Amino acid sequence: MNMLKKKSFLDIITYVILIVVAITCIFPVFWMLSSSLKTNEEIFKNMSLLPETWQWGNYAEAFLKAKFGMYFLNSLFYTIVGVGAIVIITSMAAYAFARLEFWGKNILFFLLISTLLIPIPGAFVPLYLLLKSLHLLDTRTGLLLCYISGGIAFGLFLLKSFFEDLPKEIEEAALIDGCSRFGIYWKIALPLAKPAVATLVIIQCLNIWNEFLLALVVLQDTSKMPIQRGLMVFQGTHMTDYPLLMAGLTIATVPIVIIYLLLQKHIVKGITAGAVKG
Amino acid sequence: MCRKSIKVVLKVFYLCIAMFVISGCSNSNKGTTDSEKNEDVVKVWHWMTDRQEAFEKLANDYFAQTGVKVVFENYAPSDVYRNKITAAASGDMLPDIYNPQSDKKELSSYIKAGYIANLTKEMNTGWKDVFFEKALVSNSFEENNEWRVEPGIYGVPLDVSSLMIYYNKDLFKQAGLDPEKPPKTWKEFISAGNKLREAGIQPFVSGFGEAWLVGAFAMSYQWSLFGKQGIIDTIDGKIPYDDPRWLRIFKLFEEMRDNKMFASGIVTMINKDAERTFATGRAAMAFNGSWGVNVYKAMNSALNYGIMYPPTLEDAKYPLLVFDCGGSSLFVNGNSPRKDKAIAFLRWLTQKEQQTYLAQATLNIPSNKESGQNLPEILKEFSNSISKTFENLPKLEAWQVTNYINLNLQSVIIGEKTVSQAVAEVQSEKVRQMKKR
Repeated sequence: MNMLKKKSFLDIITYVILIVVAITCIFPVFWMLSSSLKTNEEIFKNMSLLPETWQWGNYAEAFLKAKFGMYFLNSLFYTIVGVGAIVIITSMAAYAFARLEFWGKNILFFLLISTLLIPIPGAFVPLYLLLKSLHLLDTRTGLLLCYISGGIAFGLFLLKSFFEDLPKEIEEAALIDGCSRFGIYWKIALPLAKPAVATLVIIQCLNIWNEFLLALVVLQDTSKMPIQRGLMVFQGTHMTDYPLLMAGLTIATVPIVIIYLLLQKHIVKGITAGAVKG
Repeated sequence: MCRKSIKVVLKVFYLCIAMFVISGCSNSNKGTTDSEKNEDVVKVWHWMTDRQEAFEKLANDYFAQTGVKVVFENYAPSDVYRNKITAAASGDMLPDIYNPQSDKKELSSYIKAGYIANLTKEMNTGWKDVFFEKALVSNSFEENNEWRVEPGIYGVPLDVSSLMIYYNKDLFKQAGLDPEKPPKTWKEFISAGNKLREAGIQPFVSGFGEAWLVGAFAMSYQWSLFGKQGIIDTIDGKIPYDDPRWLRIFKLFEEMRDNKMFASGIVTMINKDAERTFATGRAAMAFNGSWGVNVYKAMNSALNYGIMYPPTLEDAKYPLLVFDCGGSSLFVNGNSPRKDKAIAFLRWLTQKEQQTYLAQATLNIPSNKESGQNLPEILKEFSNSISKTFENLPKLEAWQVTNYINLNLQSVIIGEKTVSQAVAEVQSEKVRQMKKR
């Protein structure tokens, strides 16, 4: 009886802690949603999460004012192509680093990984000059190449360790059956690495979708800019149009939330798989 | 199921690759900017989000009058804008009109590289007469300047700004103070603070977490107690920072602290929070820039407030001056093929009619001194304060020393250091910097 009481007490404590943590995570999202439906004045005067009058028009105004239609398509394009290329390039490279033996393998790997240490703002000027000399400045190709190269180090780091932990026996059996190295990568290793690839996809989707500084520096033509450029019109040096900014942020967040919901099953798998391996 | 979804994803990816190739192929300009494609388009890069609509309207008017198309592109916030300008300068892809948002040292490197045109010749044809003299100072280089830049006027000021004390008339009334007679002397200021505190109202707020604001407040009293020559002598090391007058300035902050004048958390408060505190009636006075008029209107349009100068000291020898924030300026790209068109547009933009429209639409103080008369009352007062801003100094204090002053003022406010400890620290930093010189 006492044990049962003690257990239910511990459960209550656990749930209370979890609820508090969940509230702290969810509160900013609620605040964003609530502020997107208020007027600018109400945001400062009314601390309640429920707006006095619901300003649904903020969404339409934000969409039109920020030219989200055009930017949304651009971001979709950059994200799909960028993430697709990162997954293909890094998975092939990571498989090679995990399974093939070649001269300078470790040095090359650490060289590639060390690019993780370079902050993007620190690379602005050299990137700008490089793109200029390649005649890729103010082009979608130039921006995409930056996104892809920026995502390679992390992808390599994540996938290499995953491929190394896959049982070699399956691959050896495939080799005996006459499968080529590429065939093993494509038909066996890559499908088995689905949880890690899903994690890579969601992280890179977040990175590219939310990226803004590089796009702003590389692109001059506003018609090529990503969605984050649209949010900029609501922020000034001294003034910020919070309701429209929050409405814009909500619009910009939706695709990422959808991607996360679609892939979360795999991400959880990836994390638990890692835990068991550890 | 999984294979099917992988196939769908791959198909979408291939489709995007195809689009990518097509868009890459169709991109015939290969790195050229829009302004290079459109020879007649004058391109302006700016960071002033709140002015974008007004700029666009003026650009349309200009096009109707002259047939020259001007495009305003907004890249905010300022730090992002600076990154873009730096990168564009490295690639020689700056627009026709912009602002590097840098100090004079960096500005001089833009000028030497030809990225900023010298506008002295154009300004001397009567153009400079329309501006407040102060507005041109931060855009000019004097004879024998330490950066060896050809003396002249390089920037075109759009607006000016100064720092004053805003006060909430309703809260003043609530505390039994006359809202039409704000405190003028330091004694009255402290007494008003006490009355406000007794009425349960926080007397004074400012973004003192941003050290420059606390320094700006102190500098008004530096001008008041030392005068121009005294300040120059301090910079030269002839007057030490433990001079009784500097002790007095630090003691003003101590007095405010002891009389519970400061809003809670003022030393860690950024100006945006301070603005919110004042706009929502949680503090009766706020030391802030003229942009506050615009900010308070957006936060609380019903806010009933006035402005006043920082209170004077009875024993001060010199007039009290207020901090001049410089305002916003634009520069013409000296390498631009549309340089003349850009200059002509800026000249038009700074004439009385356009400046009046800009000021009324954006609630900023126009740089054109003739446009100030049609402004709302508060902005008119700010406009009048421009003649009472700090004078131009031939040299500046080392930034390390200024930093020490600001940090030690913050320490005094929170009671971390005594006034004598604070001034002693500033003086020892001054000695260190003098040795370096």
